[in-house]
Amino acid sequence: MIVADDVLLMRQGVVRVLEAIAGVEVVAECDDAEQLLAAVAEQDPDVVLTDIAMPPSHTDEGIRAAIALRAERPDLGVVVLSQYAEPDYVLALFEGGSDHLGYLLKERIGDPDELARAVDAVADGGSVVDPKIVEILVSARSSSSAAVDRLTPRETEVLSVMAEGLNNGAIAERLVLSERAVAKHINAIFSKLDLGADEESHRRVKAVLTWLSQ
Amino acid sequence: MSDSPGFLDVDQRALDRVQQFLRFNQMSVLVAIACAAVAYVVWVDSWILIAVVVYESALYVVLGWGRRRLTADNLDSVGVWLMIANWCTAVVLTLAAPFTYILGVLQVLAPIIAAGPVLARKGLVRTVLGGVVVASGVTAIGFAFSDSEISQAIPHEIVIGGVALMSVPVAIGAFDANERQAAALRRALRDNALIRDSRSRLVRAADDERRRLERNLHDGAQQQLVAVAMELRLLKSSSGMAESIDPLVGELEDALENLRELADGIYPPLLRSRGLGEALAAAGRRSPLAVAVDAAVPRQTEEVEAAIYFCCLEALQNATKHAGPGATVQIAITAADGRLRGYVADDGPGFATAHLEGLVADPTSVAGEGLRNMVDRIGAVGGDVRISGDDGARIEFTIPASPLEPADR
Repeated sequence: MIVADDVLLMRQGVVRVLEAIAGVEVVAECDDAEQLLAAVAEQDPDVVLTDIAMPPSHTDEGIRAAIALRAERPDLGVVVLSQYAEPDYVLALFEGGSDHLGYLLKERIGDPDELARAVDAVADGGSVVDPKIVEILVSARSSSSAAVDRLTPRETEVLSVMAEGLNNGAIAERLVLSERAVAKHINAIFSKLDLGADEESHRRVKAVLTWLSQ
Repeated sequence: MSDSPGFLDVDQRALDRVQQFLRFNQMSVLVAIACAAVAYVVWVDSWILIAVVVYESALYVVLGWGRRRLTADNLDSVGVWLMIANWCTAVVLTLAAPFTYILGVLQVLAPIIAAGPVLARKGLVRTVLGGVVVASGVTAIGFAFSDSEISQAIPHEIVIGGVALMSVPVAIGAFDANERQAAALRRALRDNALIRDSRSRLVRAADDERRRLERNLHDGAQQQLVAVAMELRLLKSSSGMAESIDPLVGELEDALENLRELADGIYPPLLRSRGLGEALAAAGRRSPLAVAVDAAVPRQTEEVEAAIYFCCLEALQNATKHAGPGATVQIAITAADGRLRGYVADDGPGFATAHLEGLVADPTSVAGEGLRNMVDRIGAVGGDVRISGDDGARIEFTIPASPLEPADR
């Protein structure tokens, strides 16, 4: 695993949290995207955790690095850590496909369990979206269209959790439902929103986010 | 004209000058008509005077027609042709009735005095030279064909020379007025450019400061708080003081949330990294109204993007305040012909347009401050803002485009 962040304090903290997680070994630390790309080529890690804003422009270097890495190594998982709660960054990150990619707000990383879940998810090919981003999208969608109103409150809950990247089993656990009930809700949501119902769980994240951001 | 957006329209000024010039010309024709009419009634019952009145009336109509037809494009040609028509009339009338030559001289010279501050310098030189020649010619005709005693007694050359000399003070007065007018225009244009420069400097300095603040908050304060929260959580798992640490972490997270909203409001990071379309879409999402954004334009310089973004944001906030809860807002920006054109329109009850313009014009009005901000910001990058409230509120702007080369990013 490789960590990239230009702020030393942040990077050290992230490394300490990661090392507290069983089975994670940090093999390199980087200051910017250029170093990150070089280190990945050299170390061949399973997962990369990168800050979004790094030198030189301090804007979306992390996203561009993630997209470049993903094109080069389809099996590499990348989690982008961001201080920006803007859905558009997530959509930009997922533009070419959302598997093996995650977008987390920085405040999330203090929680080792959550971080471990994200790292595992992107390593397995899944997607991770910060709950705060999903919340922004869902509330914006509710104010601007009637489509969300057609969903029951339970379905809206399932939709949100699905957008965060959870698979059916994890959704069932989070919402205290049976997996069958979750599958039923998801079918209902997809037919109400006119989305393809047979999407695999990591691909449906992008479909749901795209629909929410319209 | 492109070097004076917003303040003074030089073409319009030139047009106004020629119109004014033609109005004076029409007035001198009216004087000629009046003189001929008085002469007919009081002294001579001649058909020639009736012809004079008819002819001059026709000229009056032609001048009026030309004045209405004038546009910025045909200004020079129409103006010159009308002036020449005026001179021809003076010559023809003097040929028909030599004793009216003094009316002809008046008709030629009077417009020159009036033309001084009105015409451009080159046009004025031609008008003065032509006017002196025609006035002298009219006098010569008058004397040559007149058989009164005085005209026989005085040498014609002296009288013609006298008329030509009479033109000298006329010309001097006209040129002097012309020079003063031109100097005033030059001063106005220079002041205009200075004001525009200083306005855009002020706006740019304020924007730079905003960007610096935003970056300090996002990359400095916010990251430090995140790091502290992280340390606290690590401490929690190792120290067994979970009850006292949890509320602290909660408070830190609230502080982070507030800090992020503050930093986003100061200068949205999306605008810098991804441009107008996405930054405005994000602003639309945060708005409680339904907002449709169509702003797929190429990346522009920071000044232009900030001007448009904050102008649209201001308009969006106004819509949120005044358009009513169920209203929808349209934001659209297009790029064509080297200009960016856009509008923010809502379908709320709208305003009296004149009321809004009054708010903008009154620098002490607090309610107009947001609108003035928009006008200032767009003006500082050389653009114009139009405000209308007739069919829902609508803010329209056009700005000279300044697209970024991809390498500039």
